[in-house]
Amino acid sequence: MKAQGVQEDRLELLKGVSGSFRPGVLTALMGVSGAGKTTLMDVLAGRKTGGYIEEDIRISGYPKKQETFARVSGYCEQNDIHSPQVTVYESLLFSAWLRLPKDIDSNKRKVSSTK
Amino acid sequence: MVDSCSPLYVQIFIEEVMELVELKPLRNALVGLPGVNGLSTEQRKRLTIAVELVANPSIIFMDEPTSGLDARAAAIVMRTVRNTVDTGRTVVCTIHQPSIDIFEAFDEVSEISHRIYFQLPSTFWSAFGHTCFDVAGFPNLELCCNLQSLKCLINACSFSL
Repeated sequence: MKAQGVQEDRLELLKGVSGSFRPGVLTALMGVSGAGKTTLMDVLAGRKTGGYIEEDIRISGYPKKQETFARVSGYCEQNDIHSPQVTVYESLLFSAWLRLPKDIDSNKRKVSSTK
Repeated sequence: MVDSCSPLYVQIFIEEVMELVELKPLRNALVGLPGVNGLSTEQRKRLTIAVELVANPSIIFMDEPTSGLDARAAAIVMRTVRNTVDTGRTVVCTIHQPSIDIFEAFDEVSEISHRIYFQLPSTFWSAFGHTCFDVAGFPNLELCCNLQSLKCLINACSFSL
């Protein structure tokens, strides 16, 4: 990109954007194409690992801690990726298993799947 | 208190989630390949939401849940999103070019436009879209709105973008 005349080392993707989401309500994030809707949401959800995030993100007034936040948040991507060879119920069961602690052994899990 | 890791609990929880996203009738349906066989686009979208819901999150981000869907499919997806919100969870969706029906399902709208970010309750927007009274109290909008265009039944979101 440098060769094509880009001077800066860092590109600013979102500038002067701030906002808050009230708990328990459905909020729409609207904007023109390329306004940075997805970028903003990715940043808030902690999905942007590269790059730099300045200023802070707070949850109920406390600074966001990604490890904890990842446990209490979900993110539905635009392209729905699922395993084609399983049923709806199996998809959900698999997803549920993945969230269980690792000390839950497979025998214990199987009780639920064979029923 | 039931152990949240017990198989029974997991099973009950999955049932609850399926009820919430209306996937119960499709419980044993094969997911299949998109556009080839199996679930439709809208059912797939609901499955995506369900897969996230089984983690029991309190906040869910959705990237364009209604894009690429027809009006009916989008309405079904929005209904399940609405169900999710009614369980007390916080949901944030990005949308572009929503129809008025989808738009009205939202409680609040944040908009990024021309690098200005503002946030308004969706009820105001709906009023703006249909009958367009009471622009007072929103000085910024009053400034940028052509009052003439407020008279017609314009889609508020199309207008603002």
